[in-house]
Amino acid sequence: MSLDFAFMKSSFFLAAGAVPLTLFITAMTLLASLPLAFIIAVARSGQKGKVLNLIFSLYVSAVRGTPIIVQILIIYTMLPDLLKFLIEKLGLPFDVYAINNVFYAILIFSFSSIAFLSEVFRAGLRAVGRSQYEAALAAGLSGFRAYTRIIAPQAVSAVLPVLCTSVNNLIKMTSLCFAIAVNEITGVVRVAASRNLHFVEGFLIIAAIYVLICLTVEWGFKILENKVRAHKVSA
Amino acid sequence: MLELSGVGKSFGKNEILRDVNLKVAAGDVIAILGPSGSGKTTLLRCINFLEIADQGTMVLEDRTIQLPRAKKSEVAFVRQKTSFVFQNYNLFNNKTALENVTEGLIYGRKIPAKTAKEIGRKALEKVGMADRSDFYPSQLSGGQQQRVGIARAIAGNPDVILFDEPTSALDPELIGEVLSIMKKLAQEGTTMIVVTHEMSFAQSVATKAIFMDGGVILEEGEPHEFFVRPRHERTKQFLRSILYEMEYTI
Repeated sequence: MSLDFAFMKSSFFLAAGAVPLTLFITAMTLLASLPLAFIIAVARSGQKGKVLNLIFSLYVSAVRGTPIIVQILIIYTMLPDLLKFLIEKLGLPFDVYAINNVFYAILIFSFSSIAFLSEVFRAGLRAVGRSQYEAALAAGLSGFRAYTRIIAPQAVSAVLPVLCTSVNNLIKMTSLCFAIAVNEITGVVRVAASRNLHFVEGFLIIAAIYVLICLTVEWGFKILENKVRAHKVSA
Repeated sequence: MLELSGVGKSFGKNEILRDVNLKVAAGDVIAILGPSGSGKTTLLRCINFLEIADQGTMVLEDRTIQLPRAKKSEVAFVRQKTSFVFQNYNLFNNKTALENVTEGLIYGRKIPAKTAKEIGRKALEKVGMADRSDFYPSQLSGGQQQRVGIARAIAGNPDVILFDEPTSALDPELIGEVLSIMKKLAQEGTTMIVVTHEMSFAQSVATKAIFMDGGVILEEGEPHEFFVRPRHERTKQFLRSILYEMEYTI
């Protein structure tokens, strides 16, 4: 077997050109998911709101129990019709079919990331424990301040390693966008490779690019971890 | 200054406190003694609303507060006027010693950061921790952490400080450093309610000793009286077992 190095080179640049879109989808998904996931984690950690708790736990189970590709297919086939129906009902001057598929991608990945990340944060909140919260209340902090100043920083720093894995998983997950014709890394190279049937070269390049991105993310998280290590219990 | 009446609290079917009445005057150092499970800690936690009592009222300064239905503003008021020293220190792990003290000042009492830092430094100095102000809790010994915990409690200049077994989690050789600070505070006229198993502290520092068992106050009195001539049979029994233990360890 011989590799077509010229094609590898050209598909490397092709893939590199699609990296910004992959990162954009990842970043937007994180922007939407991280705060919502944290709020759900806090809600599920509390004693109150049993009904809400049940809804969230069903949601998490549903997301965890279905393959992401199935979620993509379901949401992508259902959502446009649903949106169309809503838009027509409300009489908005808006064309559903003009919505970019990138938007759907972000929506789908957020849908699953919120569930995963809420479990990550829930673990973090458990690690912090109730005594820190009580100490904050006794010091006169409001419940909100107790969470933002004392609980959240500790919970997040406790789960940084898991968060790193989650972010990397999300980046790799975006490769499934090719299923809905989004031109991110996997999509563009796959199309190019199908023209001259040099799939092996194309896929090797894709793999290399994902490894590079994920290594960079890992390196970033290492720096973050070192920054917060000072207050971690040195066991 | 602080008066509790008719405080009751149950966890499920378990009655932890029953009709507890307590009067605290400025400068009082009240030692609460009793076997574990007698409700001492719960009583302390009910004062600071870390636990919500089922019955009872609290008079603090000029306000009368219904413990089971305290408004948010009333809870905030009580927490401004009291502070809590925890058995396991409960320092904020993500904050330095100084930040542990200033956090409540800045975000609880709305004191400007600069002033809060000055107050914080003074408080740390008072407990002999000024040279550790930039250390994180994980870098401090238990005794040092509890001293920072006390600094955090005195910094807001509260009416009364609640101590929940402040030395129970400490290694024996570290207990002294914490007790001596508490003694100093008492001598300066700080009002304190101390749940403790340190009998010698209760005897020598407290102005009043209280004995609790089964969720009620069985006996209260001037410490000397209390230790030398306990009236209640249960108190005698408790003191005997404690004193026996002390002799035994010596």
